[in-house]
Amino acid sequence: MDKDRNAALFQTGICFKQLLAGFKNTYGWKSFISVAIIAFLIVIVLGEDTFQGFYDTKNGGFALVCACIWIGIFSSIRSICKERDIVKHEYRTGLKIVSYISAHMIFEFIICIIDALIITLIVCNATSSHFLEEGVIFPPAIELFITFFLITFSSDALGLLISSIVYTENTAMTVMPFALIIQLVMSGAIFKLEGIADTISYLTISRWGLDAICATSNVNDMPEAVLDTSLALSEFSATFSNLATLWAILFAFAIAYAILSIIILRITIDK
Amino acid sequence: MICYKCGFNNKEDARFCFSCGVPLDVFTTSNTRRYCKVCGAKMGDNHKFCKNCGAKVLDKDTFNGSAGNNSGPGANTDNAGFSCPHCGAPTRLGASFCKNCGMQISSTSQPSTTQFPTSQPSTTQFPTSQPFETPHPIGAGMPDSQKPLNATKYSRANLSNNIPVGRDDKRLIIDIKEKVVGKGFRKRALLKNIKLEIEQGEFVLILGGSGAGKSTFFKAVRGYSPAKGSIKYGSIDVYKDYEKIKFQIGYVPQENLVRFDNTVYNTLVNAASMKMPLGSPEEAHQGRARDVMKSLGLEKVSNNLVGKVSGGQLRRVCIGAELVGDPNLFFLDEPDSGLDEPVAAGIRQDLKKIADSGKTVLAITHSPDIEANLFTRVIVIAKCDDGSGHLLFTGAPRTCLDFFEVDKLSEIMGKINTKEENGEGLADFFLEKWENQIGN
Repeated sequence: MDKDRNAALFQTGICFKQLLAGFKNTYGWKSFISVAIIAFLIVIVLGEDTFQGFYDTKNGGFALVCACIWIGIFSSIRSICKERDIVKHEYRTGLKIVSYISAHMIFEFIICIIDALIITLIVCNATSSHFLEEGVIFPPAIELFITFFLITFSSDALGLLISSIVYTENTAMTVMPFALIIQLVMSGAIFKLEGIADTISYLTISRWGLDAICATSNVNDMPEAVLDTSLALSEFSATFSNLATLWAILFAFAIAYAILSIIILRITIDK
Repeated sequence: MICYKCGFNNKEDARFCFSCGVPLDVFTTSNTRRYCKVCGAKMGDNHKFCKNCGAKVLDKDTFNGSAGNNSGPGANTDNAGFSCPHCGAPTRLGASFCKNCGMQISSTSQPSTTQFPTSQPSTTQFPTSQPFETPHPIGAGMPDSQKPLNATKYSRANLSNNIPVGRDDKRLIIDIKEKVVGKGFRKRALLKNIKLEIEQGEFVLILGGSGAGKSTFFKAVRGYSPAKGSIKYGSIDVYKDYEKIKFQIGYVPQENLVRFDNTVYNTLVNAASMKMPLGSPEEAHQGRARDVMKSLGLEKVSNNLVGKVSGGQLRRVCIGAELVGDPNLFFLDEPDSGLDEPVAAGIRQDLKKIADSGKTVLAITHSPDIEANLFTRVIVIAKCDDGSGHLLFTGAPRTCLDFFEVDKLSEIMGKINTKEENGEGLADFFLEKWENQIGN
């Protein structure tokens, strides 16, 4: 058992080295440019009352959540299916799927940290004149960074899951819009959700991500919410327990998607 | 009829040895001939010692093939007194390589008396009076457990009939009765009745038309997709003990399954890290990768991205990624596909070097005439009228040409392919011919 565990860890290291080498050799840093461009496009449309007014904050938060989800899914949705034959061949000669997916998760963890950092820096700079003054647990910039990171990371894991299900890159890119639409429509930002839609929304990253941004921004204490108490939702509570729970849920999504990727890839890799 | 090469006891009217495929008409069973009692080699009337094995023969003996020790490959010949003609170490009758000095034991140094009709100069090159490849250094390429013992320990004077050789047999014994796919009404047999043996160190060519079952044969022999029957490598049953042997099997598929975004060196180091024993140091992985790069001529492109190298180099990278694991059985599916002839020839030569280092190499190819002299065995599989792939021939390349009555190996496809595939549709004819030959 110890030998198997060590072999899995060892293989994880090798797979991670391969991913790093691939990133370096194919100038993977260019993807950060697109992240910066997306963040710039978002801040251009952010209103003057972002982080000050209820609706502007919620809408701006929704746009940022969409950007993070797009960046996360796009980063990984082709990473497994494009080399499926290679993984199959390596699996037949001893590669453990757990090691392979773990290596991807560790690699994407680092990439998502950099992505979140870029987005946070650009957003904070662009909204410096009307940025938040205090956060719930940490300074607001740090809280936003953590939220952006968790949204991007869990979306990245979702992309890995999709990549482990489909067999070709074409199929992956065809599936991607559907995955995005579900996240956008079921976030609760555009439509008031009831019944089955509300139930499904609990399974979306966007819902919990938006709640976290609104909690950090303390939207319940903003003028519109004070005047119209129906706008103040418990999900937006600027409390330690609420924010920590939202972060934990986002992280749990990432872990759940990773585990599902391992299970599905293990079943389908030899077919 | 006893085969003079391997000692296998064939049917009296057999023209080719069932085991090794050499033509049997070199010797006759006339009682006026003298044959060495030990190895079956022809002897002069006044010879007291066999010039092949050195055994002392006093009287006019006829070769007795019914004795248990001389009944052919697989039999326990340790006590037969057969010895290596190079170092004198005892070895079993029919062995192709001496386990002491590593030299090839064969009678191909004897010029063949069989005439091969050719209507035009053949492009196939076969050794005539030349011996086989220059013997590799003793123990080169072999793992420590298989390295030969000190040769001086087994001088001819110290021969004993009872000294065991003491090393595992590395022969690949294939006995596929049937390989079936599908269920119910969709059930069909892809392969049927394929039975043959391959010695360690052979470079085997697998020939067959499209859809004949070559890849299925590979999957069955590798143990990846077991068939009804058995595959044995030495004492290991590949099907029953697959987990034990899977790391001794290397497989290079037709597609180039390596990552293009890594350098050649890193690709091989990573492959070595994955395949070498757990706990081996990083220096060992790097050293192994360097050795493989050197043997395959990839040193100049070691720092190039895999996606930027030429087609031939890319195939070598794929071969190297498997070779770093030091497999004993090496399967290659069309290793020269899409490559021009000189490059393909270079790859064949590299594969031959791999085989010479003691590994058993099996390759499927549709260009069999390129460096055909490098192959030691040809296996021909074809789809017959029953829709299943059958073994039409196994044996030496020269014997294969005789059997199919062609001048080139590539012409065999024209004989066995169906008429829809621009062939003569003679697969069933040759199947019957083969079965008659082996007495089934």
